[in-house]
Amino acid sequence: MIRTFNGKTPKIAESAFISEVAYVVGDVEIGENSSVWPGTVIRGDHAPIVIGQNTQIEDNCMVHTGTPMFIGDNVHIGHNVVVHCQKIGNTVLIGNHATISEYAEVGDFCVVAAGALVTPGMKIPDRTFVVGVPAKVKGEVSEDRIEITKQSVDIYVKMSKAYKEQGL
Amino acid sequence: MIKSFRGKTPRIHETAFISKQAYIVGDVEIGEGAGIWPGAVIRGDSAKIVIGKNTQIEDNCTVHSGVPMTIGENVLIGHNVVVHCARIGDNVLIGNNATLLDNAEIGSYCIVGANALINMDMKVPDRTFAYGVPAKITGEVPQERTDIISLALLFNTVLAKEYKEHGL
Repeated sequence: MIRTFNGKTPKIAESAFISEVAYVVGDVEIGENSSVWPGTVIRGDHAPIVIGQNTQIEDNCMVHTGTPMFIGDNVHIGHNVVVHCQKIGNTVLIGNHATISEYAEVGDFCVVAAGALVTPGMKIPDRTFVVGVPAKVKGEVSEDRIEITKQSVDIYVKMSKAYKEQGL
Repeated sequence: MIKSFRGKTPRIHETAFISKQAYIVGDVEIGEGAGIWPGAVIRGDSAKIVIGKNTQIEDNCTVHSGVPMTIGENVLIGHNVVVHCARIGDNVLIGNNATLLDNAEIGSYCIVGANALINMDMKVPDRTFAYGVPAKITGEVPQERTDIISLALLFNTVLAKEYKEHGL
């Protein structure tokens, strides 16, 4: 469901897939081939939310912020993630059930582990793997791991097309 | 809402309760007396998902897997849980907000603590407690706890029947 709020209507690329049971409202931009899965809420009411190309936001995620938010290209966000931060770079994997708090910034090629709590204002440098509650830097993301992020993105871009074709 | 995907339609026992606000898609089987609560998403698109008799999946859970998943009978899954594992046995309690990652297996008569993170490939033996982020096995589940789980489940199955009767 795509809704206007205070005169702002989500701008969604034609090739993007928005599930019939997702809810996108207000000042939100979603790029080509990106997808938003069942139960996810993207609420651009306090500040704009810009989501790049080929990015997936899986089921039951919550995307909302008090300051402008940018999510890059080729980002794979797992199930039930709370995204409340300022920035996520390109080619990033955010694991299931992670929480990315206010003013946090996640660099390019990062991996945030499942269940991790990225605390307010935390800056995660490019190619960094963070884990835990609260999240700590565990090391650098290997080339193999980046390849897995890219594969997940590819699988989801394809599957989202099938969902879109079937009118789901 | 119950939807087909790639020619597969969820097979749901006539006595099961599926909330109007739940979303079930693809290759999914749901047994007798089971309950799927508001906001829960069960997505059988990458692999088949089988859910046994009387099992309750509470609000805003996401159930999805890359490999076939079996959830047994009399399983109580709390609110906002991410179920991404391969197997859950019978008579199990999964606490609110827990995360069960890829290929993990939970035995029968187990308890997974609220907010616990069951890591990828973890095997939780029958009758054990698993707590923490990441989860560790912290002991055996006594019979009294199993009895409490049976009662909680009974309460939920009765409530699910009432919801169904009210057309919710």
